[in-house]
Formats: sequence, C-alpha cells, structure tokens
Amino acid sequence: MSHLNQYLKYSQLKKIGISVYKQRMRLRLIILILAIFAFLAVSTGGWLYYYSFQKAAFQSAENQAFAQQKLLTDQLATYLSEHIKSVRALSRIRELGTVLADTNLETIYKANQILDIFTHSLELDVSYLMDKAGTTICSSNRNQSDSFVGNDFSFRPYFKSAIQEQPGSYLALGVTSRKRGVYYSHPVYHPEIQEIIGVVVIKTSIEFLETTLFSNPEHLLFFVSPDGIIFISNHPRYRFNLLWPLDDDTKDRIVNSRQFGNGPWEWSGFRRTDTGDRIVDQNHQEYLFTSLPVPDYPLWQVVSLKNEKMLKKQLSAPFIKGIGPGVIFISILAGILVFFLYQQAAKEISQRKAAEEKLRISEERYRHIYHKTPIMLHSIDTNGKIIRVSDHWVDVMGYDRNEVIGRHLTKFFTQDSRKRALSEIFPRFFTTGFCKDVPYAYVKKNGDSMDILLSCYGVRDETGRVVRSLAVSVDVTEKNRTQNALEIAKEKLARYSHDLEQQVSRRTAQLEKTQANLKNLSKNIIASQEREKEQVARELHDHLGQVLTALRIDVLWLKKHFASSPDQAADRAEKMSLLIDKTIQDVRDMAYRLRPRVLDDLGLSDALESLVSDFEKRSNVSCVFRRDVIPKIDKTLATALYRIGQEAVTNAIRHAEATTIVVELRTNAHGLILTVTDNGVGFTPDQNRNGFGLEGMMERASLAGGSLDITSQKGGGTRITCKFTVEGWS
Amino acid sequence: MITVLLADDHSIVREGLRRVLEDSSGIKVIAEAPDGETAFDLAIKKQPDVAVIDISMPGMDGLEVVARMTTYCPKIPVLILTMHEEEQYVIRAIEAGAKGYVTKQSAPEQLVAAVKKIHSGGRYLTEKASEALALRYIRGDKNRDVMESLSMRELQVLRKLACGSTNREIAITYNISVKTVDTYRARLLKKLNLRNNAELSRYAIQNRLVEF
Repeated sequence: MSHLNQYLKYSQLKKIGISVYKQRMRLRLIILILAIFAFLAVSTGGWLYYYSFQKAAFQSAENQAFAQQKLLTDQLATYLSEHIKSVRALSRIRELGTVLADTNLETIYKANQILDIFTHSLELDVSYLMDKAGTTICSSNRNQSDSFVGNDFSFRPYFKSAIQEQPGSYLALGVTSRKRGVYYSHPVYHPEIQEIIGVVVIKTSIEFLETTLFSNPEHLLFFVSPDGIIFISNHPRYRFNLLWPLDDDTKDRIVNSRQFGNGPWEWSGFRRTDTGDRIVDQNHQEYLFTSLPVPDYPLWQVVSLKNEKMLKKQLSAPFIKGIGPGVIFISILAGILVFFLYQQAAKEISQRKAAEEKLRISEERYRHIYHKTPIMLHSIDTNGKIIRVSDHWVDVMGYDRNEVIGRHLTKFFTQDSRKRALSEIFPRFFTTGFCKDVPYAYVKKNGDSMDILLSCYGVRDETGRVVRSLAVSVDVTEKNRTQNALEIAKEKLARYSHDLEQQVSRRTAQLEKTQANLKNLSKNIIASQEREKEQVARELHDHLGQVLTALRIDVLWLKKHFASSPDQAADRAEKMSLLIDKTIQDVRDMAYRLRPRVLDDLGLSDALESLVSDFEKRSNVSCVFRRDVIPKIDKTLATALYRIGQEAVTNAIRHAEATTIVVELRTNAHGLILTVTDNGVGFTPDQNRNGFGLEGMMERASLAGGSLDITSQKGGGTRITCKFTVEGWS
Repeated sequence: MITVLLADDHSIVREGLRRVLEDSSGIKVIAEAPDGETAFDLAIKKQPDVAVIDISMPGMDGLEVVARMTTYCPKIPVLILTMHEEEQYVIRAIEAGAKGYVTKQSAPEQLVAAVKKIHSGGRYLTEKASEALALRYIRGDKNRDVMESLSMRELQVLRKLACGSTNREIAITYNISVKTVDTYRARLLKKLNLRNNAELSRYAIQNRLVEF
C-alpha cells in the first residue's frame, strides 16, 4: 500500500516536472520572441533616428559645402578678373604704342622699362607685348632663358580676341614657360590714330591661387575646363587629368588649341553611375558631386567631389559617440528587463503549476481518504439523494454501493430519525450548511438498528448555496450502551460514596470523641497520678515521717535514760537514732521526689525555688531562679508548670552538660511564662528528643492548655519557654 | 515556769514532744491542740507563755495560726515546728511572725532551748535558717542586679568567703567537697569580675551581704 502510494507520488511529481518544463520552454520561446521584437523595435527606432539625423546632417553638410563652393567660385572669379584693369591700363601707356609704331632700340628699351615696372609692381609672372602679327617684341622676361621675345603667340585665343578689339582673359599652360597661368590681353592702339597695332598681355601664376583657395584637404576640389581638363586641383595628382573620359576628336582639338600643352591627359577615373546621381572612382568609392560655373569663364566649372564614406563617417562619428552608448544601454536595459520579467513570469507560472498539481494531488488524496478511511462518510445532494458513500459506509450497512447511490438518505433511517430529518434537520442544514452530532438511527440491510451521531457540513457553490453535504456518521450504539451502563454504575457509585461519606463523618465524629476522651483520660491519668503521688507522699511524710519522729524522740529519751548504764544500751539507742535519722531523710527524699509538699503548701513559686536549690545542691551546677510575684493559681496548672520545670532542669543537668541554668517564672498581661535556659551543648531539631522527655513536656503543656516552645542550637544552649494563659488575669 | 501551747495533728509526736518539754525543768505544757483552730482558740483562752505550732496541720495550718496570733495575741511568741527542711517554710514562718523555727527531727535536742530563747524575747533560728532568711532578704532587693545572676549556693559561698571562712570550713558546712567550693569561688570571681578573696570580701560588705 505504502509502496503504491510512493510510486503514485513519484509519478505525479515526474508529471509535474515534465509539464512545468514544457511550460517553461513555451514561455521561454514567447519571451525570446518578445525580446527579439523589443530589440528590433529599439534598433529600428535607433536606426531611423540615426538615419534622419544623418540625413539632416547630410543636408546641412551639403548646404554648407555648397556655400563654401559658392564662396570659392566667387573668390576665384574675383581673382581671375583681378588684372583686367591692369592690362587695360598698361595698354594705354604711350611707350607701348610708340614701340609698335616705331620699332627701334630706344622705344623697345622704354617699352621694356614699362613692362618691368608693371611686372614688378603687380607681382606678375610676366608681361609682354606683341605686334599685330602676334610676335613678341618686348617682354619682362627678355633676359631669362625662357624669354618670350621673338615668339609668336598668335595662335592664342587671347591674342585673337584682343586683335579683334576684345580684351581677353585666358587660362592655359605656358607654351614656353610650361607654367599654368592666367593671361589677360588688351589691344594696343597707335599713338596717333585709332588703329590696333599690337596686343599687350599680362600673365599671373595660379600657383598662389591653388595654394590659397584650393586648400581644403577633405574633399576634392577641381577647376575644370569646358572640355573636362582639371586645371587646378587641391590634389596635385589630378592636375591635367581628364575629369571624364574623352573621345579622340576632342582630345585632338585640345592638342591643337595648345591650351594645356601637348598631353597626354590621363583620365582621373571618375565616372557617373548608371543612375547618374553619384560619382564613383576606380576603387568604387562613391562621391557627392557638385559643380558651379565661374562668371566670365563660360563652361569652366568649379567641381567639388566629396567622398560619401568619409562624409558619413565624419557625420556619424559624433552621433555614434553620443547616441550609440545610449542606444546600447537602452537595448541592454530592455534586454535585462525582459529577462527579469521572464524569470518572474517563469517563477510565477511554475509556482502556480505546482500549486495546481498539489491541489490535484490533494484532491486525489481526498478522494482516496474519502473512500478508504474506515469512517462512515456520505454526501447527499440538495434533494437528499446519496451521491457518494465511503467503502466503510457500505461495509457497515451491508449494502452494495449501487444499492445506495441515488437513493434518498432517509430510506436508511428508522421511522423516528426520518421524520426528524425531514421536518427539522434537513431544512436547517441547507440554510446553515452545518450540523453537529445529530443523533440518528440507521437501519442496516440485515434489519439491525444502529445508533449514530451525524456531523456534516455543506459544500457551497460560487453563489454560496449549499449544493451537497459531506457527512460523518459515528457509530455510537456501543457507546450509548456503555454510557447507560456507566450512568447506572455512576449512580450506584454516588450512592456508595454517599454512604461512605456518612460513615466517614460518623467515624470521624467517633474518633474525635475518642480523641477528646483520650485527652481527658490523659488529663485524668496525670491528675490521678499526681493525686496518688501526693497521697503517697503525704502518707510517707505525715504518717511514716511522724512515727519516725516520735520514735526518734523516744529513742533519744532512752539514750539519755541509759547514759549512765554500764551496758551498751545508750550506744544502741544512739545507733537506733542514727538509723531513724537516715530513714527520716529517706522518707523525706522519697516524698519530695513524689510530690514536694512545698508545692501544695507554699505554691509554685516557692516550689520552683526549692527545686532549683535542691538541684544545685545535688549537682554543683549554678542554678539561678528568678521570679515575679505571682498570684495563687490552679493546682493542676501549678503542677504542670512544676513538672515541666523539673523535667527541663533535669534535662539540662543530665544531657546538656550545662554549667549555668536559669529558671524564670514571669507574669505578663495574659498569664505566666516559665523559661528554662541553659548554656549546655544544645541539640539540633532532627535529633531524637524523645529521650529528653520533651514529648512529655509538650503533652503536659498542651493538656494544661498552654504552649511549649523549644529553641536549641548545637553548642548554643537550649531555651524552653512555656506559656500559659490564665483566665481573668490582668 | 514557762507555760507552753503545743499544737500538732499527730498525737504520738505531740506526746513525744510533750515529754521532751516536760523532762526539762521550768517548762509546762498547759494546752495541746490537734489542729489549727483549736490551737488558736486555746492560745486565746489559755494565754500560754509560748506557742509551739506544727506548720502542717489539717484545716487552718500553722502559718495561718501564726498570722492570726500575731494579730490577736502578739505577746505570745510562736515557735514553728515542722517536718520540712526546706528554707521556704522557714522564711514563710518568720514572715508570718514566728519567733523561732525547729524541725521535728532536731526537736529532742533543740526544742527546750528554743522555747526558752523565744520566751526570753529572742529568736531561735538554726544557722541554716538564718542564712536562708538573710539570702532571701538580699535577693529580694530588686536594686541589686548582680544578685539576680547568682545562684543560692553561690551567694552562700560568697558570704562564707567574705566572713573569712576557709574552703574546708565551707565544704564541711554545706556537705560538699573542697574542690566544689573552689569551683564556686572561681565562678563567683568570674561572674562578679573580681580577682581575689579580699575583693570578694569588700564586694560583700559594700553590698551588705554580710553583717558585722
């Protein structure tokens, strides 16, 4: 049985374990998905935020870049137009017209002087003068190795436009100097007539321009010719590269123009993407492309290429620095939170599951207990029909279970019980839901009747209505029988006990009477003893004593009479008298011992005094007697006190080895106090004191109506105090 | 001739005493009484020179007879005769007014002398009796606290020592051993906080324990 139970328990526990595990797994999955969603949400939010932030940053960067570019372009335009006026001023100087009109050494010299001054003062690269055919006749670099003098620059567009009366400016690589520069040209008129006779040109270097304006290292900044040749670049390696790939015709044309030397011009590698909104280089790096036209230089453009990756990095770095940890922190926090919640939920669920399982087990156990416990249990529904009974119930009643289930409970009751149940107990039970120790009688299948006590409580539904009962029936048939027998026995016992009590009280009364009688008897015995002693003493004293006295007188008379006689009669008489003296003494002593006459003749006080001095005489112990004057007292009391005193002093001398005994007879407001104190060895209360006659003293005191108190200490002497209250004392 | 009233309830004793008295010259028993009442009546009636009264008699006892006679015929001296040796009787008798005290036992030797002595106006007491009286007197004085702590025998020994008796004498007087007397002496010195016999004497005299 117990093995089975254990197995059941074990398997149930296992089931609980498995189901809890499954539950946990499912929960874990849900929580995991939730966590992922939460993480995704946070990430997406973060990314969206980052994206919008980046976009805004991008936009602002773009705007900023555009503004910069615009500024650059304006500056470039300003710079490029710087010397337009200078060249015009130079063309108006007379010496230049003169030298063209009349070319000789002197005029050349003068013109050269002018050019030198200009070049020097305006910090130009070079300034030079060409005749109508385009041949250079004067130049500020005439003394240098790359002197222009004699060179024909008629192929230059600036010459061509100036000779047509159009001042020109031109960007090109110097044919002779191999240096980039800006060329400004202006026609020179004849000093007297309005006729163009030559062209004056100023060339300034763009090196300065390149180092100052194109100094931004972050992006690529190009100044690009209409054909796409990079003329100025902040990165030297792109100088004279082709921004876009060009076909050969165009290349040829550029070669022919001699504007940028002879080439070959390499392709920079930049290319528009297919969608056209981005530029990529050969390494597939993407660039942001912007271009602005430059005033006065049609089709020339200032191009800005920004590496998108770099840009993004630049833009996102502060963001990541600032926001990144925040996002990570929030993500971790969310993760922790989710995990914590998961733990909590898991705990909660496992607890709830365990509780449910416990409940189920307990329910099962309850069912098991219900059926198997050897108690009569039954349940009825609201109609009174039996819905469940315990095994014991059917066993005891002798029915089969299917004979019982569904039948009305009262069918198993005796007539009386049924009536009472239906009229009284059932209605009450279904309202209160409780009843206790209701006496019923069942009828078993074999017809036997069985007394029971039924207790039950109602099982209620959620609305609080009693829907069925759980009832316990206790077989009290035997108990009732026993109870009856017990009650009869009790009654008998009470009777006996009453009789006994009466007997006891009768006996007690008898005993008390006997005790009183005994006490009286004791008193009487003592009294008669004393009386007898007194009689004997008196007899001895008065009779024998007197006779002896008389004898003595006569003997002494005889002695006197025979004093002169020769025989020894006188001696005999003398001997007789001595014998008589001794006998008298003996008689006196005997009488004294029996009862001293002094007690009767002179009273207690003198008797005690006599007693004390007698003891002293016979013992050599210092005996002191002290007294108050006392009135005459009852003889019995006097006797008792005398005897107590006698006994006490005797004890002190005989047992205590005392050297001083003090006997005091005192009076107080209530009566007499006799105290006998010695300085002897004393005794402890547990010592056997019977030998000392203490019991006798006590008895005498109590019989005479007094009290006796003994205080003694080992080595500290003994004090015996005897108190008597004398009626009518004052 | 001294006339004597003799009262005793025992006739044989009375007879003996009468012989003792009448054997001497100069004493005549003029009346005999067997009890107290008769003795008193006869004393009044016969007016004897001396009354010899037994202390214990049926009815009115000797003490009462003495007391009455002291009141009604104080001129007749009373000699108390007794079987008892206890000093208490002596004291009572003297207190009651008796002039002398003789035990019946010593009567043959002392009675005649006693009758003569009290007839001549003196007292007749044995040494023991007078000592007892003295001691009673001393002890009766409540002012002397020290006396309270001394026993009768101690007082006796003290008096004797103060009077210059030797230990041996004292031992003989009280029929005790010399060693016992010494014990008493030591006890006295301790109790009274004294050093020697001289101091004891001085103490006794100062406290009027002895008379000179």
